[in-house]
Amino acid sequence: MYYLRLYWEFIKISLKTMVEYRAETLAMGIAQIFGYLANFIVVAVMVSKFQTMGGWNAYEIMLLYAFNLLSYALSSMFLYRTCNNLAGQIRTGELDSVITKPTNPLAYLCTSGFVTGYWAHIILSVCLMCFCFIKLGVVFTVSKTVLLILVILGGALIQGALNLITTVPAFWFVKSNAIREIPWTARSFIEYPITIYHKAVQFLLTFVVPYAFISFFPLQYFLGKNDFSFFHPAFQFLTPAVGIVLFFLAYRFWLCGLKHYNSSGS
Amino acid sequence: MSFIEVEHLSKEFKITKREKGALNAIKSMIHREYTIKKAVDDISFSVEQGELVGYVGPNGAGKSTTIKMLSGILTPTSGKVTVGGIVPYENRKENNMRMGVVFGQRSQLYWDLPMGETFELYKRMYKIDEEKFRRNVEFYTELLDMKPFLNTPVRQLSLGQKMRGNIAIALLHDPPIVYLDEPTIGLDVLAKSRIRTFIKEVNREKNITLILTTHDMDDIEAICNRLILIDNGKKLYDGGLEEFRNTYAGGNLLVADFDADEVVMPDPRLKLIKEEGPRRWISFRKDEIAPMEALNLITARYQLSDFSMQEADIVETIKNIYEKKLHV
Repeated sequence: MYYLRLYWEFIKISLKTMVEYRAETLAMGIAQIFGYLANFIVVAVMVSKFQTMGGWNAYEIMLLYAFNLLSYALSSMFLYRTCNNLAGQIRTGELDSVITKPTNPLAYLCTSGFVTGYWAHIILSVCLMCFCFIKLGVVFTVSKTVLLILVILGGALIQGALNLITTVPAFWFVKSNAIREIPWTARSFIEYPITIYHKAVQFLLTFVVPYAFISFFPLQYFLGKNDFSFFHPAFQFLTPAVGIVLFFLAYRFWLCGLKHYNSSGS
Repeated sequence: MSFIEVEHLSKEFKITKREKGALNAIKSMIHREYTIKKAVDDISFSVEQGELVGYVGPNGAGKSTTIKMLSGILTPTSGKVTVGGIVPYENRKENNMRMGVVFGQRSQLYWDLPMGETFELYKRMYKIDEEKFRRNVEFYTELLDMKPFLNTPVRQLSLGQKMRGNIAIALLHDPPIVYLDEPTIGLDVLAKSRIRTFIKEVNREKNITLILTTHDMDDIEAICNRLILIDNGKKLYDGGLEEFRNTYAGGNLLVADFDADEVVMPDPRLKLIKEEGPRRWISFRKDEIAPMEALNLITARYQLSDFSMQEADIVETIKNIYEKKLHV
C-alpha cells in the first residue's frame, strides 16, 4: 500500500508535466487522433467494399482494431519509455541510480517514466468501441462489462509482457533492435481476423506470440461468434489468464537481466 | 566489528577480444575469446563510523567498481563486504534505505520538478518522518544556500546548483553512510568550496561516514582525514592523510638544477624522489632538518644552476607513486 502510493506520486509528476506543457500535449494528441482515425477509416472503407473479411464485417474489424489499440495504449503508458530507454540507461550506467533507490526497479522505471501522451489513443479507441458495439446492437450486462474490462487489462499485460521480453536482451547485447520489432509486427497481424492467415501463422499468434488473445478470441464471445478455426472454444475466456502468466514470465526474465547487470556492470 | 568491512574483495570482468577485419568479426559471432580483467584485486579495509575516507586512484584503477560493490550495484567475484552489518548486494532494498549516493556525472533530480517538490518525493520514498524532514530541509537549504532556487524547475538550474540539490537529497534521510563519486567534477572554485564546507559540517553534525572518490586532491585535503590509494585494482596506501603527507610527501621539497650528472644524497635525511634531466626533486622534513641546512649540505658538494623551495605537494607525491618513481 505504501509502495502503491509512492508509485502514484511518480505518475502524478508526469501528469503535472503534461499540464505544464499544455499546448504540446494538446497538439500531439490531436495529431495522433487524426493519424489513427485515418487508419480506422481505411479499414472501414476496405471492408465495406468487400462486405466482409474472413466472415467479419466492417464494425467487427474496427472492434479488433480498437481492442488492439486500447490495450496497447494502456501498456505503453507504463512501458514505452521504460523499454525504449533501457539500452541507453545500461550503456551510460544511468540504471545505477535506479538500482540504488529503495524501490522495485521495474515499478520505479514504469511509474517515473509514465507517458501521459496516450490519452488520445484511449479516448479514440473507447469511443470507437462504444460506437461499434452500439451499431452491432451488442447489449452489455454487468458481468459482460466486467469481463470486457478484464479482457482489456489482460490484453495490456500481453502487450506489455512482449514489449518487456523483447527489451531485456539489452542487458546482454548492446543492440537488440531487431528483436524489438516483434511486438510491432504482431500488432499489425491482429488488425484482421487471424483466420485469414495460414494455419502456421494462426498457431504462432496463439501459442508463441499470443496476440490473438488480445482481440480475436475475446471478441468471439462479445460478438457471439463461433469462428475458432482449429482452436478450443474456451480460448475466448482465457485472455486475463494468458496476460497474467505471460507478464509473470516477462518479469522473471527481467530479473535475470538485472542479475546479469549486477555481475557484469555496463 | 567496524561499520564497513571489506575482506579480500575482488571483481573480475570478462572482456571480449576484438580483432580487426570482416573475417574475424564473423568468427567472433560463433566463437568469442575473452580476457579476464581484474578491476579490483584482493582489497581489504575497514571503516569506522564517522570516518571521512578519500578513495583515490587514476582512471580505471577500480575506484568506481569498489564503490559499486559497496553500494550494492555490483556483486563481487570473490571476497566479502558488509556495511552496517548487512551485505549490500544481497539486501539491496534495506541497504538502499540506509545509504546516500551521488554520482557526479549524473543527476538524480527530476527534470521538470523544482527542488522543493523533489524533497517531498524523497520524503515519501525514504519514509522520512515529518519532524526530521522539516529539520533537514531547513538545515541543508540554509547550509547550501538553496533558497533562491528552491522553486525553480531543475532543468533551469546551473550545474553547481544541481549538484547541491543532488547532495541534499542524498542526505535527506540521514543515511549513516554516503558515497560521493566525483561530486565536484566540472564545478567552479566557489561551488567546490561550498560543497566541501557542507560535507564537513554535516559530518560534524550527524557523524555520517563518507567515502569520496575524486581526481581533485583539494577535495581530499579539504574533506578527508583518511586516504586509501589504489592502482590497478590493488591497494597501495591506507592511512591518515596527515601521516601520508609527512611520510611520503616528505614535508618539504627542494627542486634544484644540478650541474653534475650523477647525484648522491649526502645525508639520509634528504631523499631524492624524482629526476628529470638536470632537475632533481629532493624531499626532507622540516622537523628533521632546517631548509637552510639542507641547502648548505647540497651546495657543499654540488654546483647548482637554479633552485627553489616548495611546500609538500600531495598531488605530486601521488603522481610519483603512480609513475613508480616513489615506492610506498
